[in-house]
Amino acid sequence: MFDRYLVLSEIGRGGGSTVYLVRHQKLGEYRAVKRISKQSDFTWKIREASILNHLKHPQIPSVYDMEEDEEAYYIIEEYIEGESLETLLFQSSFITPDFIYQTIMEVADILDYMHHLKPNPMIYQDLKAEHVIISKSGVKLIDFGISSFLGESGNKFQNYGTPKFCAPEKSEEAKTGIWTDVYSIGKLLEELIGAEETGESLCLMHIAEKACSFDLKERYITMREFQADLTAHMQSKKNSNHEKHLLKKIVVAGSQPRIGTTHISISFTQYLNRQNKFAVYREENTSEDMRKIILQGGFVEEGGLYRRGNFFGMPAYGEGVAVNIPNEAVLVLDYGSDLKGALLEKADLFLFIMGSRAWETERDHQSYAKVKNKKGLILLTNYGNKKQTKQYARKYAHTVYCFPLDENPFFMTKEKEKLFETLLEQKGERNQNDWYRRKHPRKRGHSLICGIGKLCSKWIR
Amino acid sequence: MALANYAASGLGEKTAYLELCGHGEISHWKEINQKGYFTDIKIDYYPDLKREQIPILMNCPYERLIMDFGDAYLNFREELLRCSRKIFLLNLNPWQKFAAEKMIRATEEERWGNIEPFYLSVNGQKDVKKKVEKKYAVEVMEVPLIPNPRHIPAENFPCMDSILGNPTARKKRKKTLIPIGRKK
Repeated sequence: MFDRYLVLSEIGRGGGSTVYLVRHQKLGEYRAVKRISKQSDFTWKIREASILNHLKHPQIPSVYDMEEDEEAYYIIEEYIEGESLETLLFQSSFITPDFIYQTIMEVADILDYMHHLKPNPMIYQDLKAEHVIISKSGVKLIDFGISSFLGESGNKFQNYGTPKFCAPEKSEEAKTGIWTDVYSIGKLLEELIGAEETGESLCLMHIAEKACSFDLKERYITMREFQADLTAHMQSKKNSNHEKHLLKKIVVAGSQPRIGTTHISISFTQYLNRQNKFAVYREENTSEDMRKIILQGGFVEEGGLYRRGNFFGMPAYGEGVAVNIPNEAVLVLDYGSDLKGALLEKADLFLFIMGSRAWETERDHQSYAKVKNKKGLILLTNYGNKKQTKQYARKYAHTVYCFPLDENPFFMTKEKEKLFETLLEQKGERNQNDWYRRKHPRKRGHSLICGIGKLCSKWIR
Repeated sequence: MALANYAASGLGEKTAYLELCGHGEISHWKEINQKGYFTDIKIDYYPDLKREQIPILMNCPYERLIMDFGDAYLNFREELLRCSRKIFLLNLNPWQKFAAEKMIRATEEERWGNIEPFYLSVNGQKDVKKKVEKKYAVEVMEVPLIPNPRHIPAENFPCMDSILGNPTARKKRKKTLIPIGRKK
């Protein structure tokens, strides 16, 4: 073709035009050549060349040249290497909520650029998956054949475009505008959501529905408005995902009464407070153990909470009183043996306490069957019986932790500290504590020897 | 009613409220069962109770009985004698001060052994309160305004504890008066 290009293959066809992949004979570069037959209605088709010439955007193909012979016009454009979105839609594993967001945002960026062209804004009018190319350098938009400048006398191309993606105002011959492209992008978003297998992106459907609204008053007026809503939604979704990793509520429940849920709950609260996480123990059972502990003394009341050293506890209050627990507090809910109540509670961690004595195992098995499907389940045996713990682990095919034999829940031992540290590692909380560890590295060696060393160093000075 | 709510919900005690003032105000609140009471937020309310029914209730497994004598306190001298906490609510507004003083004078004449009456005032002017305290050599405790007696906020717990004589009541630790470890 014109001695400069070598035609390699046909890459597209439709509406009286054919697109070929060609290589420049001297430069060796690949280009796309659109052949528009003179036998067809070519006047509006060759308009694409002049339109593309006006558009200078990295995600819009450039026009290099235009030629003609007796039979046809030839538009020589930048060749974009990649797959069309239409092809990718068949590979559903490729479609993820993030992919949808990125693609739609990039397409919206291109359209927004066109909508803000001066002196006359331009509307694309033919948005569909086939015209969106996913290349190595991002999303590219092709085929500007029916794009039109707003403000030109009449919108004579309004009856063209793919019916599925066409805004209703086009068929009704109402005035088209940038909202016409908003409708099409909404349709594209709908198609992508439909192709995504996991259904995680279904939450974006209300945005697509708003963009595709037949009533112009309900539709997004500008592309930026659509983008802002989409971004805000994705951000809030991400935030909620991050929040999942934050510990906010811990439920402690036992397989049977007198199994030590209160002891373990208090110890856990104590540990969290020692780790600079404000945690509050809340009694959710009818044993009134917390109140009995308070009556023994050593507590100070602070706004309905009872404090003892690092520990903050709240007895089971009724409806007649109002106690505000700060929002930042981690709640440790002690449900005792009330499994029904514990299972109804949504929690980040569900500590299930089992006994390890021979007469407790049968009840443990029965209770385990009730909680085994609970999200965030952590199994724990009391009284430091490692042998029984291993048996449970084998039987349930689940990690079972062993709570050491402990005398005082308000006193933190190394064994308890290690256990709780492991439990929080399971929850992915370790990273959040790392700053603390770096700031206060664990001291090694005997404290007495360290003390003598410090004194010596002072004396030398 | 606020005290009953705190005893039931805050302290977890089995509580009954006995209306003895004769006004029958709470009888219109809820429907009374066959045993002559109704329950609201773990409290058993006995509206318009007769004097002879009090000993029966005292033998019921209640941990706290709150008797509301209202302005008819002088008619229940025997029952008042049995109470472990004798709480008198004074209205120290200028136009009600005479009634408050009358009540203090009446209670001064009573002899209850070691149990001292507990005077409370709501919305009282501080200078009036001080004058009354000085005149009758009594201590009047100012009670904060509780908008909803069925919903006691946590900041009122210490006050409720003091009125009910709850042994768990502890205020924030005060600084020690003994100068321990203080450098000379």
